[in-house]
Amino acid sequence: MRSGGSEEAGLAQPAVERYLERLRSKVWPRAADVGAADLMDELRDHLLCRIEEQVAEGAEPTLAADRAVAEFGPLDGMAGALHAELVRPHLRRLTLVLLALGVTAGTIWTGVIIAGPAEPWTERTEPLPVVILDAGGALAGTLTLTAAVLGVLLTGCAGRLWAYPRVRASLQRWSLRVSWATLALGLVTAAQLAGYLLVRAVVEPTSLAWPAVITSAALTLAAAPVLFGPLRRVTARKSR
Amino acid sequence: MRAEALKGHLDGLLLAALELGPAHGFAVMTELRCRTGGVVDLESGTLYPALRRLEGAGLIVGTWTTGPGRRRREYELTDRGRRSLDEERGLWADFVAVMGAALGPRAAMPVPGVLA
Repeated sequence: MRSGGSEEAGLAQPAVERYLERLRSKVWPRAADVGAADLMDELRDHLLCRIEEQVAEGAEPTLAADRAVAEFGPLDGMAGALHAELVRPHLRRLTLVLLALGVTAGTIWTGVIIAGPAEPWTERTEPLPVVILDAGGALAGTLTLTAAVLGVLLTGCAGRLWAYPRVRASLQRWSLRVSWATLALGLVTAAQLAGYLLVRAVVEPTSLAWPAVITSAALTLAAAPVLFGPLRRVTARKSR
Repeated sequence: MRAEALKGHLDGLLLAALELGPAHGFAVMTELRCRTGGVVDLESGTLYPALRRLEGAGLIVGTWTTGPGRRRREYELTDRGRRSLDEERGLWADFVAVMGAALGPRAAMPVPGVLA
């Protein structure tokens, strides 16, 4: 139901629709969202109410529409404020999922390596690529968890600073960047872990507890789709 | 009124505007404008994100109704929202009392040295 309530407001509908379409394309540039239609209906009702109010006071409908749109506020400001509010729950979920996956995967793989058979080399005979993979993996893993914690903190702070929309939007943008960094670091850690396991498997296949390795690998891969939901929702909307 | 003065009180204002019964966004804005003689005139970019936030926090609940030939979203206070409004009123009364004592007429304040 998108027709105007009164005939006069109906005449002003094109100006309202143009504004709402521009707003929609700024907030949801790529993907259709169920929430988009609902929010646009709510804002349309607001604009038409304001037009009807002015028309009742004797204003000309198209002028009333222009004034209603102008009073609604700058498009960028409105889009930014809506974006920050709409994306926040998905961003919060994304940062929590990243942290939970990071901690879980880190615990499982550390357990698999520590509790499994001994390494097929000593500190002296450890091949250089393994030394690099070891050190790199430890560093990337630590950075992944640090970034994951930072993402949760940034989103949490943004949630509390609702009275300061600019600061809040800025914190949320940083939280999204940190989430991407967490994801990238997580993939680097996973690649280094895979390289380390591959070298061990080639040098001495019996130095790995294969059932534990295969189960952990399956669990890690199975957990990946958990990320896709919040990630898709967060990236479906454009940051200002 | 300076926008900064409203910071921290927006929730209370919106909850108070919904206290008398369900209302849609435009009605909430109009109610606040009327109650304050036009001094509090919220921008839409402030109003709708705030309504979404209050709904997410469980302080208000929104339902779709049919307005004059179009969909309309109306908001209503929840029990939690009423309790939050009561708390907000209490905090505001304390704030007014403290600021009134601090910023009140000079004559009403004790002058250092006179009472000593």
